[in-house]
Amino acid sequence: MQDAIAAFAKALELAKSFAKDPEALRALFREAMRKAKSIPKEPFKDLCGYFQAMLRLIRAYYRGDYRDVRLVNLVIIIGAIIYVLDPWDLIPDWIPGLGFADDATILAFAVQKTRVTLDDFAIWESTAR
Amino acid sequence: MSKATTKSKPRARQTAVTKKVERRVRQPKAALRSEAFARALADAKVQANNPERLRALFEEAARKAAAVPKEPFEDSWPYIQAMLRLIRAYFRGEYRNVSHDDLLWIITGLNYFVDPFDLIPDEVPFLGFVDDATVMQFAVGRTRQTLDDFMTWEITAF
Repeated sequence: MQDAIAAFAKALELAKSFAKDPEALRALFREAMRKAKSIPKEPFKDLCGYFQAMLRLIRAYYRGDYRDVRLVNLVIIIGAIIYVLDPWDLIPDWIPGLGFADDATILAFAVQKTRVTLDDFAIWESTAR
Repeated sequence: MSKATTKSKPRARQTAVTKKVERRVRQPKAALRSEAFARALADAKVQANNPERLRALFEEAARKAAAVPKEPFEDSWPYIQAMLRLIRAYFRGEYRNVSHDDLLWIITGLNYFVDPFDLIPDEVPFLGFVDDATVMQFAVGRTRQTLDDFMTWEITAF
């Protein structure tokens, strides 16, 4: 857990530079889109729904459709996406059975911090559009 | 006579115990055996083929989802929101990649959710949405693959 947090700190540093750069966010979203089908769902269990919400929020954010996110929460969300997409994180993603365990830990942590933001975004999606 | 009584005694005790255990096991699922659930399912069969009624259900459920406490639903909450968006995409004709059975479960779940007078009326403090959460978790469990596929479509299709 400690190691995972340390590895996540690196992703957060990168996330800070992404947060104000719509082009970088678009590229990150595109990468997530490409990898969406190859990332296994089992290690993430119920968190898959929140991970998908993070991706949709990032897209709505860089498009300027939705901006109702505090910077600190945005950075955590971007950091979590970067971490999950990075195949060379704490436990490399190609290690069978374990590769995504650290990703699930980080995602759970990020969801815990940003749940309200993600829930509010989902409500906006189903009421405002 | 006496033989009959000795025989029936342990059996009687056994059935009493099984009944007790059964009741305990089935209690959390009481919502799924409720009249409200049967009603939600029966309505779903009619609504499934009627885009106008689906739109009405979507609008009511979206309004309600924005107002209710989210805690009872825990991690199934994003899936409930996905159900709403799927129904919207379905009645708009944007997305049809859902089996009839799964569509019925989703509509049934949403019907139960919008019904204020279900097993535990929604206005009861703290408990009003516990039965809704049970029904929604059940519906999510049945349709998770469909909902995951729909969310993948959402991020790849637009």
